[in-house]
Amino acid sequence: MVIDFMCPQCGAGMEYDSEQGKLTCESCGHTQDIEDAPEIDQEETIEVEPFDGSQIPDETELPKEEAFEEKEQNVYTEEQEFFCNSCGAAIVTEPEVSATHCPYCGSAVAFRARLSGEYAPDKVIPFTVSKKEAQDLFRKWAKNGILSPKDFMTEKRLGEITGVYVPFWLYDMNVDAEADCLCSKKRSYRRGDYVYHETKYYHVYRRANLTYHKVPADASVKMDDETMDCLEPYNYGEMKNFSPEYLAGFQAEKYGIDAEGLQSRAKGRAQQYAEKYLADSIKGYATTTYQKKECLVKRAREYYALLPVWTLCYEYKGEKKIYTMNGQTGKIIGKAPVSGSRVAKWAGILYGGSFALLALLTFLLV
Amino acid sequence: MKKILHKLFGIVFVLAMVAGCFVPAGTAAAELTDGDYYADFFDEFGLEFDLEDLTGETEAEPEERYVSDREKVKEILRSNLRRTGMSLNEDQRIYDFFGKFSRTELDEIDSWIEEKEDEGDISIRVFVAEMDMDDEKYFLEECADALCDNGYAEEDLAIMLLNLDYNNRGVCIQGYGTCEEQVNDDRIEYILDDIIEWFSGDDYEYGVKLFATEAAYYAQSSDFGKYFKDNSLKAKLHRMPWPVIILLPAAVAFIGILLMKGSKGGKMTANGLTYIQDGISGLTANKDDYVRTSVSKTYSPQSSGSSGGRSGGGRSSGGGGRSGGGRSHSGGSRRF
Repeated sequence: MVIDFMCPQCGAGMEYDSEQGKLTCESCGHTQDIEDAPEIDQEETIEVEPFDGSQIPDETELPKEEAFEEKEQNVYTEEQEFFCNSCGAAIVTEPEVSATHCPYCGSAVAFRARLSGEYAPDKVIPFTVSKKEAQDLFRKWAKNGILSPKDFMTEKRLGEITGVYVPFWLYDMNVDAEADCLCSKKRSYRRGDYVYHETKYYHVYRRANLTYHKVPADASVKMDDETMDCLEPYNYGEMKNFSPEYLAGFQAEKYGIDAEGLQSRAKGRAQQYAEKYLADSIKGYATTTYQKKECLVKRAREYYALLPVWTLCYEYKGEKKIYTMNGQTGKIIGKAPVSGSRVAKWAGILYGGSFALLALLTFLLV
Repeated sequence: MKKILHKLFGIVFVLAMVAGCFVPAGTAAAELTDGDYYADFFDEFGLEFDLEDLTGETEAEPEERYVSDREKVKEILRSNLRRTGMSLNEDQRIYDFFGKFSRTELDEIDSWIEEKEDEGDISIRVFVAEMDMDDEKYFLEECADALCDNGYAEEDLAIMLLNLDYNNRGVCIQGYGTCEEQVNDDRIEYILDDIIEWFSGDDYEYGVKLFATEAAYYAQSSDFGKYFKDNSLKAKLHRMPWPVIILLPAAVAFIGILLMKGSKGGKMTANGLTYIQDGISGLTANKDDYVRTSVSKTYSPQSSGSSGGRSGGGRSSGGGGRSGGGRSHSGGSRRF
């Protein structure tokens, strides 16, 4: 089943406008608040089977266990086909895509099957950085990269940036942490011809009860975890209850790893935070030796949320690089490619310039 | 037997000469003339000698020689003044009898010295001339007397002679009045340490300016362990060894490239405080209990007296003295 975002006035496709925070029709200029968006009429949508049954091998031909594994593999790896409500064309997508554009008519579409049931997101942070703003920010960022190749961040490439809603699990967690340690304070003083070194030892105990709210862990199999971590923080004050209209005009993915699968990562982060909290509370000592350090992390609840990310792909010397931008704050993550010839050129300029300056100063002053 | 005695005498003579070289400059022994030295030596062995045979000099009575030296330097000063058409006066701070500096340089140095005089609350005078090395000390004493007696300089005077005689290139500095103590023999050595390299490098203007700067600095510095440190860019560049001049730009280029390269990427800025819920999070138990104290001691004797930061062996010149006009002064000189 495909969700479309037709303009109720002219029937053209509507897209989410990050500046106005509304669905906007580019054809007639009609805007529509998302809270007021009408329920999708299921009868008007065309429902298709997720995949062609003929492609699934007959279970009877395989041993039971093998048949099950094969089916699972198909669900998560096979591309699936939907039909665009506007033009009727078949839309073939990768299994994790939950919203995209029709490649034929360009209409924004979302796939209900991948946004409902277990895949129904609880929350969404809408894009607040528009495509144009994102292009400007990327352009500005790239200008600072004077060691980058010439064709990096050209206008053509900037036109290819894509807004993606990346699936995240946000965990509420409670940590009961305690630390038992031996600390010391040191001082030295002189009496006559002797220097005295005094060390005072203290038994230090700390226990803390800490609650962390919505610690994120990206559930996308495509996105690099470290990159997604670096894109944080998001401002949760602008977080909304999920509505498919926020996806209009952007790509979206459904989670590839469930909440159970990611909880160890989130717990690890909570534990690190708690240990740091305890360490910061032990102040005024020269040394700290931990005799006991324990953190009991309890997962309270989790939210399935879609967070906005602008992405830009660039292939340099056969290596594909992805540059990402927080679609809410504009924070950019990615290491700009380095051109060897530009490094040599700049090294020469810097060496020659500083040598000439030094020589000139020496000549003028000495 | 006579041969053995001759050899023995020769060995003792050589040893005595070598020992004489190690007698610290500035001591009474170092102030003996060659004639005095040989006479004492020969007297010790009951031998007779003819000074003229050994040194080619005729022995003169010390007082006579002193008077003749005074007359000689007076004549040097008079002849230089006559030749250059100059006269000692209160407005001139540098007397260039040698013609080393241009008019512009002289004006600049003069105004520099004037500024330093105000800073140090002393008079500073510089003479540039050529003469024998032995005449330098007397010449400066004569100049100091002439300047102070006529009121052309204050009694608190730091004076320098830049001797540019081809065979006797050197600098001699003396301090009078409060400068005798403030710009004392030790500090004159420090000044010489700093300025001599500029004269060796033919930067006479900077050397003269540095003398004025340091003299004024020491005149106002009550901390005798404190040294002047020339932190000007010029001095830093001058002190910079050539490998550094080659490698420094390389380091600049390397750091520049690293900065250009490393400025891209982005890092994790979220932390525990980003997600912690204030109000319901915090410490529930907090104890800091004293356990024990341990003390160890190490023997470290306190150093006595002031310590110098300078190395280098001994004085290069004979220190202070008294001028013909009865003015006591500090002093020092060095060749370059």
